[in-house]
Amino acid sequence: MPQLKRSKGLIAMLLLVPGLIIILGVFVLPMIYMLMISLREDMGRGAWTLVSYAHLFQDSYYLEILWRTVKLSLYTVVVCLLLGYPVAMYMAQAAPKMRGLITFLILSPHLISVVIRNFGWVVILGDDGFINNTLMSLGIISGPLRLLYNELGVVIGLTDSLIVYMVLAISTSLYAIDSSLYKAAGILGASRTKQFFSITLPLSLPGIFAGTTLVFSLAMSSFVTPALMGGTSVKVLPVLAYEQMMASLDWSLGAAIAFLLLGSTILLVTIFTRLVETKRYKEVFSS
Amino acid sequence: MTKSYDVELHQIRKRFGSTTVVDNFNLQVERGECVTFLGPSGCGKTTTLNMLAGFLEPDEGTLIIKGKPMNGVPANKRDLGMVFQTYSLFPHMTVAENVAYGLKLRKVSKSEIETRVRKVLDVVKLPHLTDRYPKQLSGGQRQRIAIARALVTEPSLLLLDEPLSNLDAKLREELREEIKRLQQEIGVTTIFVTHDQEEAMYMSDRIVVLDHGKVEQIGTPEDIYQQPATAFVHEFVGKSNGFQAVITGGDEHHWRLKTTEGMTFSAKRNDRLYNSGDEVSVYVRPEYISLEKVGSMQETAEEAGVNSISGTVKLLSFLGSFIEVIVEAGSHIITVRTNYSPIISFAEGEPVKLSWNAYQANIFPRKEA
Repeated sequence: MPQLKRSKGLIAMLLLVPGLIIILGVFVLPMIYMLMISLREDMGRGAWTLVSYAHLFQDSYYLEILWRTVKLSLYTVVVCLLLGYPVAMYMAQAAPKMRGLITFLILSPHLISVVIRNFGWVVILGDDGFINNTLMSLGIISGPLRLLYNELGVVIGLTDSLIVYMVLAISTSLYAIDSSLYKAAGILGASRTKQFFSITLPLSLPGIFAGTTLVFSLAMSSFVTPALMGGTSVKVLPVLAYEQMMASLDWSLGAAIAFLLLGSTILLVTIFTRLVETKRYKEVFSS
Repeated sequence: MTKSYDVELHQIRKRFGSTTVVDNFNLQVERGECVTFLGPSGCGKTTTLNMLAGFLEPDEGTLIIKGKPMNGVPANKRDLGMVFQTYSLFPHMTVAENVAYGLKLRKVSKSEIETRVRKVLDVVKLPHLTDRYPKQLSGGQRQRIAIARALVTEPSLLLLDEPLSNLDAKLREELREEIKRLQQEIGVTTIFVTHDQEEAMYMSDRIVVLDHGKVEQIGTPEDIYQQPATAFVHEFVGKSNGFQAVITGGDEHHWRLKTTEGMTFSAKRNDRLYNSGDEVSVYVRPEYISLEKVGSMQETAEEAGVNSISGTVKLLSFLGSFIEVIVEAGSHIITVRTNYSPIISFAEGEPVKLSWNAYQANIFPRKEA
């Protein structure tokens, strides 16, 4: 019997090896290399130095961009949450067929390359785009609204690509709520609104938490959408890191920016996790 | 209209698509009464309860609770208490918060909430669990908390939707005793839904037996058992030996009949009239059949109004307070329940004589199969 257990464990280990090699080779090693580049002169081979990090923290320009990156990511989370929650609620109580259809619909933008999708937004949101033309021809506005190449454009683009994570995470946790709880709350005197705030919302917290963490992390690190929808005026950290490496050829500073981004994302997600995972949350939702 | 009722159902009808799930349901429930809806699944008992609760609207008929028409009134405005089969405690609230939920909605003051929660938890004998979460409780404890939550608002009507079905046998008996005690002490008018006839008999002042959306009989547990109104009630409540038979004749007290297997016997006359040749179903309860050894000293002589047949013991089951004997008589298989006695014991394969009084056989028109 112990023999069998050991050989089972061995097989499990062996099955993990290919995956581990890939993660090690294409993720962990490059990360270590990048860290070296940010911390040592001469592309990670020379003397140890903190000069790139000092540069980041001394120049308020970089911290401003960090703040903008965080802010835009938070906006995106809030918009995804407000727009995604009703969709998730509808999905959770829809028939299986309808649920499949909605999942397909909210996933369908991802069937197109992110670049093409963003150019689609340019056509819709541009000064001479669909929305401005319509509003102007209806006489509601006299000149075009600025919907693109500003923070609004970035949030629209990010919401479009990330809302799917929010909807799926929330609908999963809504789906797990026993529907007899609503009956119980109703018979005890709770109106629909009261039922939502006292039952639905608190019991969907794990979904909100998962969706928020996913959308926030992905928004913090997204590159294509801010680059295309924000233009040169709305710079975010990933775009800045790219510019330092590819345009200024300052790999050390670029790598330091990348780690600033990683560090702040981890820090903020950790703080958020701490805030959400109260004693009650753990008691109720841990299995 | 001298008597006032807590619950009145007038010609309630409910359809799902083309199936009528509740058909012409009429019922009056007095204050403090416990009435059970009993029937197999799909009989309409839960649908009717859901209409009382306000989760469903009847298609036709009026529904009155405490003198107020309830048609169109949503569940949260009906002032009811309800206990569900799956407990339905709010998993993210502690026991105290669960119980306080309805009171908070009624804007009861904090200090009064505290007092009432403590009091009701005492009543269900779980005062020490206030800060626990539902998943930390056993099934029995959860259901007690659910009962406390339903009672704390002092509802005008208590609805119990198979509250014991998810519990194991021992606990089920314990809890039904407790619910009955609480129900009588508090005097709350109660509608209890179950498919378990023993539970129904135990709990109720009156039982409504339902089948396929139709009320088969409304009566006290004793009525239902001793004077079943229909063949369905006779078969569904308690154990029965059923025979298919044809009326062959009769006098002013009895009908003579002949079973399809060729046995003849008599059954008491009731209000219904039959003609010779009418097809009927006859039922005898296993405990009304007496069992004797063939050739024993006490062997009773044939007498008027007593049916007797001989057969062979096929199977004996000892069930504690009684023994169940399966007897083969011709092509009939008859179940007999008799008190356990260490003196007279039967053996499998032994020839026996079965007899029962004609007045203990109930006769019904044959059901259309």
